[in-house]
Amino acid sequence: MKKVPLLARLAGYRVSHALRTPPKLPVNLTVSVTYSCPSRCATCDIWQKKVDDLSVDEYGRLFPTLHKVPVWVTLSGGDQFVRADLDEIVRLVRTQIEPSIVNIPMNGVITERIFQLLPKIAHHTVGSQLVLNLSVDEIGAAHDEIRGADRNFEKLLLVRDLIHDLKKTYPHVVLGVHTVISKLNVDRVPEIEREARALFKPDSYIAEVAENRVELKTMHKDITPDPADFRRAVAHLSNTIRGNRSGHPVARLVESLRIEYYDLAARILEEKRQVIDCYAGWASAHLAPDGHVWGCCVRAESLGNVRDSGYDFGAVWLGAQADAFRESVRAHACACPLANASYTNLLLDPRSLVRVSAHMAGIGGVSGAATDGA
Amino acid sequence: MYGDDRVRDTEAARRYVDRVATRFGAKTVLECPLPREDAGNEMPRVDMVVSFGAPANGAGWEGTLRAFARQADKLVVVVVGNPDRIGAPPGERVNGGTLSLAPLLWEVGRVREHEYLCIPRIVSILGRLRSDSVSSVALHGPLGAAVRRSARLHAFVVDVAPRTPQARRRLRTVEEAARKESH
Repeated sequence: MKKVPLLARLAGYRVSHALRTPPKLPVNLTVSVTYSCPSRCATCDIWQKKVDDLSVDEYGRLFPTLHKVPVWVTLSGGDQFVRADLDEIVRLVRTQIEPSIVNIPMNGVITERIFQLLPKIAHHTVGSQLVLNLSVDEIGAAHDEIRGADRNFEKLLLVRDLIHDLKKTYPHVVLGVHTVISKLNVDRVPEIEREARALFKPDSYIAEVAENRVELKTMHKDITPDPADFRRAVAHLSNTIRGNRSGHPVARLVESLRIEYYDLAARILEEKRQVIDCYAGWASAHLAPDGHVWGCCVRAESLGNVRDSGYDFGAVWLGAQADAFRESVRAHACACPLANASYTNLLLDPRSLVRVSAHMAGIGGVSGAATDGA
Repeated sequence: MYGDDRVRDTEAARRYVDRVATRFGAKTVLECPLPREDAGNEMPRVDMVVSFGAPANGAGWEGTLRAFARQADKLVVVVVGNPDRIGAPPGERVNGGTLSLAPLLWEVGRVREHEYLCIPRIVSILGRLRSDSVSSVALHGPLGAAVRRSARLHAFVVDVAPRTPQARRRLRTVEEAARKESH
């Protein structure tokens, strides 16, 4: 399966989606290793959830059943670094799944544990690209306030230095900066992006909208920005990308996907519908810390628990609950701009791919919807 | 016998170590392993530990370096024959190249910088057309590959000072307790 080119595999998901045939295992997998988190973010209450996390041994039984299909594995939380055995989990991901990309979003709070584990994680992931995304929602004390963590920004700068040092001996390490755009910071996105780029010198900068997610226990929170405000913010980000295009083809493709994602996310907020078909439940999946398999973390509906299936991911993935979830997504019963699933959806949508190609070719100028002061 | 005389006697390696010592203010230096005449003496605490040569010298090198690194207050400098060099002698070749050293170096401390030494003149000239120095160019790209494949030596500077504010606080507490005890 691993030998099949990605685009051919994606075509398989389209066929399965169209013909209602059982899908292959997901190409994009998010593994939440814990809900525990020392941060008390204004945009997230995941820390309130307490479950029995899967152990390293359990992951060791589960991952081989994915048959090395996932290409992109995100290790998420809570704060993953709460787990002292995170490096072992990463080692299993690399050896048993062999993804091309391992992505770890990080809040940088448990600095000492990060300094202890990150070099080991970098070593374990040789052969994949390791993307370390630092969460930067504001600059300085304002960041600490949004994230509900004392001196968080100061700690992020320490972790930034560590990652830049790691890149010297581990060239597969990529430093990203990730901003959650909420009502709390939407008006300052241009400044946040500019200052974050200057301070962190990241290889990539990405932003996502704060939304109501069952996983994060934020269904009651008024955090999602007004669609017009979000449109202005992402127009700025797209213009920044257009104004600083990379000459490297892969980097240019990623930038082009990002421009397309920002527009898609804004349209979903504005139109409140699935603007393009969603393939959560086909191409992307989420594994909760306690073994529940979800189609996505926005709905966080259990398709079954791997603890009840002898740690066989496929048995849950092809079960009746999973079929019901897929049917509901296919019927457009939901719509969200979740970045992780959206990037896969873009790759599966021919019209989006045409626009991505146009972005790559530099067709389509700087949008007038935003100015630096937006 | 773990020391590698060929590396130690290379002028570029010596110059590099001196440069690092000056830059980081390291006044006392200990060579790993102890020179034969000092073997058996108790190892002093020093600012900087230097190791010339690496895995080719024997399986015990890792343990020796760990033990020596504990004596360093500031830095550990490791200079090895570049195993990625085309034509490197079999004794210098290591699976995974110098990357295979990285876990040990990161265990000892924090790898602050690395530099290729003894780069052929033609590669240096090509590099200067693009930047001031090619010795620590990124490993990507054709120039990086040329440096990686031609440099005779590869040097690493490992910062062994406490890495985090918590670790620094802990060290201060231990030092204060030791001071009180001595009074």
